[in-house]
Amino acid sequence: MLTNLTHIIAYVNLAILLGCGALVVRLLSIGYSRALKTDKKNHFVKEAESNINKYLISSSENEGLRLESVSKFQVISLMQLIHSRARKDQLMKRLLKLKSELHGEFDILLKELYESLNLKKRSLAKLRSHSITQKIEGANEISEFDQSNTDEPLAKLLKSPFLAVRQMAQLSIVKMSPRGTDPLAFLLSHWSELTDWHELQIHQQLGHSSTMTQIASKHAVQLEKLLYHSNNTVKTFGLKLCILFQKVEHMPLIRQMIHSKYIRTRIWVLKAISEMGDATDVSAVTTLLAKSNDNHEREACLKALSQVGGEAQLSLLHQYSSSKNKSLRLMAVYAIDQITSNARQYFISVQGKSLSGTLKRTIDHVAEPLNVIV
Amino acid sequence: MNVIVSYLAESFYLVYALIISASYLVLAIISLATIKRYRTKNTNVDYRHILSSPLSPTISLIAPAFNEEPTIVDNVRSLLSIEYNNYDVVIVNDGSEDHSLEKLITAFDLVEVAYDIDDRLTTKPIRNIFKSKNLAYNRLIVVDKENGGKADALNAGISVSEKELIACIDVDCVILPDALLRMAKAYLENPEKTVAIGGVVRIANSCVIEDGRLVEVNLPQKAIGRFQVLEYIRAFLLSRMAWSRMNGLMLISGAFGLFKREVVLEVGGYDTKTVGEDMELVVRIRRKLIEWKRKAQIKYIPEPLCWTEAPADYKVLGRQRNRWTRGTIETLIKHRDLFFNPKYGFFGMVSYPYWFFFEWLAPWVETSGILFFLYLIITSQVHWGTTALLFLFVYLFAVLMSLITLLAEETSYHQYNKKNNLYQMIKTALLEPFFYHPKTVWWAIKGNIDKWRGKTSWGKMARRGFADIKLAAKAKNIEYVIQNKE
Repeated sequence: MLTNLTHIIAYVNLAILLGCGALVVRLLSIGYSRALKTDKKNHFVKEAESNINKYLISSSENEGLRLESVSKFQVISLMQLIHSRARKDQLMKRLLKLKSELHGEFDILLKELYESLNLKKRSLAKLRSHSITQKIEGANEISEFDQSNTDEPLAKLLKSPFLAVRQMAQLSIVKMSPRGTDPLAFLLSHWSELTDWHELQIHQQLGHSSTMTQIASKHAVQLEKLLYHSNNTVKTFGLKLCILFQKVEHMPLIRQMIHSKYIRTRIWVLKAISEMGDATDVSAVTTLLAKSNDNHEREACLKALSQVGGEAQLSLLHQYSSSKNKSLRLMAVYAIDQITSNARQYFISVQGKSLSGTLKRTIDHVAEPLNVIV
Repeated sequence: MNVIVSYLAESFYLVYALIISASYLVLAIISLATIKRYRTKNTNVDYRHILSSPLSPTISLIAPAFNEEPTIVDNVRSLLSIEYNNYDVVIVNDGSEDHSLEKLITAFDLVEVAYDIDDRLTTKPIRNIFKSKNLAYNRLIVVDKENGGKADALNAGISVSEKELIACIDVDCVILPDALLRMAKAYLENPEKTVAIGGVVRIANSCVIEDGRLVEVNLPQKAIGRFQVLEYIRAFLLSRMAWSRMNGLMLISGAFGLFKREVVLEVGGYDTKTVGEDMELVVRIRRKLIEWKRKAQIKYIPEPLCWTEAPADYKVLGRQRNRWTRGTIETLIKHRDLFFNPKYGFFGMVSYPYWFFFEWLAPWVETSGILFFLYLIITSQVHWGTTALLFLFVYLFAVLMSLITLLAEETSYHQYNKKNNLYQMIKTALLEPFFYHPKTVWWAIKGNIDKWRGKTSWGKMARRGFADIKLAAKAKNIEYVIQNKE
């Protein structure tokens, strides 16, 4: 039995030894190729990069920045010399980085460079590739540089079996905001893929996009569709967009959503009320505050009351000013301060001068100009 | 009789070794797959979206400080320059006996302010809360309190903070500028379930830090530093990533961890009676949320987000490991009812027993194995051929795991990119089982003994500080220039 065991251990050791050997060879080859890259490979790429920078600076109107002048032709001819895929990828990354850092006229110059070098062909090839990373990269490149204003190549990716690819395609479509089509149309069929992160990206893209007002006015119906959608995630996202676009005209619909069975939705309704609501919302908010047992929701209610509430709500707010939870206590005192313009005076008039230590501290906190409450 | 005992003991050690090796391999495979998945998902992410979005979560960075006078101003400046929009920095001066507080007051133009605190956590009395008159530092909140230890200081910081998330950090750590953006992104992927997120901590010894910012990454010059580099990468990339994937993570490093503030308050904050407060909090959060039937996820990000100074001599390192061992034991004992308890699902049935058998007991099994081997030699029961092969197996397996770690590092985040760094790390992997591992086993055994003796102190942790490291790096540079001239 011992001999058998010895044999087994010997074979296992041999296998591990071979594994270690293979790993060492792999590691050394990585180290070697990396050393090669740093020594030689970057020669052209570095030169092209420096020329792009010079070209961008020399093309700008800022005389103070002007260095040695480089023409677009020089940049293009140098970039065309770069044949290997890895080097082109490196350059593409550089263009993307520049695109994210520079705006205005630089943006147009970079798009022109992309077109002149026929890099779109490469981006489209990436979309067709089997690799998920390549597909994502391709979609990103097209949305950043393509000026054709069509989402056709990206639309196919919406059907990809990989979530990361579908989400990048969705984001790219929003980024391009193609003319004539609703950039948020995918939401109606791909609603299940909305995460808060994805929403944030779309939200930011729409908020920053030059087409924001166009989307807000032109796609008002679509926005309303989101609010009417059967899925709660889409509804809540529609709410967020309404707040982003300050769509006060949707408030009647938004108000109804305060009865939603989902806390998240209700909290966003309360946020919408805080920003766009009026005195008509008070009764719904106070009812919700009385019913709720979630601290976040209560806090959102108190915040909403600080914006739309009146003297009739003071006694309700008073109750919360002695809460053990700091956020609730603070928000209640803040709301009282907003309504009465002086929370301290209000409490003294109601309770007399004997305020508890905690309440005193909370009032002082609200009154302190260096503290930011909302 | 002797033969039967020997046979049983041999079988036990063999089975134990096989199970632990297999578990390491499985964890490594899961980790590698998870890292790959993470990288595919995050390669083209534009984190700047989070910077200006009103939808991004709000974060309080909480850093306890005790006698950090030489470096505190630089460190706070570094924390204030992190790339994030809606965050504040809460520095808790935990009754420092030096002039840390005075330095902060002068450097940041601080004044005492009226400030409300959450009463749900009990801490040592808070003396004062300061904010800056200077708008440039309006994110900064300094809490001055009586000394109560790191956990107590963190609790005070949590009571003061008002944000949705809290990031608990060591004030002397260097947090990368985009660390919060990456953590916020991970949180936003599932904010309902995510209750905590950990990030990879790297070793900053020999790195160049200027004004609290990491300027240049260098592999530690001393072997002790390189051993720890390898150990950290292995722990973070090959183990915690897998536990995170299986949602069975039991530890988020105290150096840098992000938590949902409300959840930490609900479970009662950090335990001030343990030296392993970071692990204890994570375990408590998990068990409480399971008991309350709430779905929870604790995530890990494989990217290096935080750089810390590791002990530079074996004496200090020994003290640190001693404390870690005691912290682990305290947590495991406190939550002993989790052990193979099906009520806690995967956490009770796999995570806890894994820590019990392979983290707490492993040094004991290893030491007793060596003693048993000596007994076999004395009683002439050793089959030298098989023994040699077994030793070779243990050594080769350890090297294999380290090499897999290096491959994961090289093909993913590749932080050490200087010439010869790779060769030095391979050499470190080959030497570690002889020169470093036995020491860690001894420290763990000592930690166990100290725990039973009732030791509760942290042990003195001498740090050189990044200011010294920076000077040392500069000095080294000057030396290098002189040598070159000669």
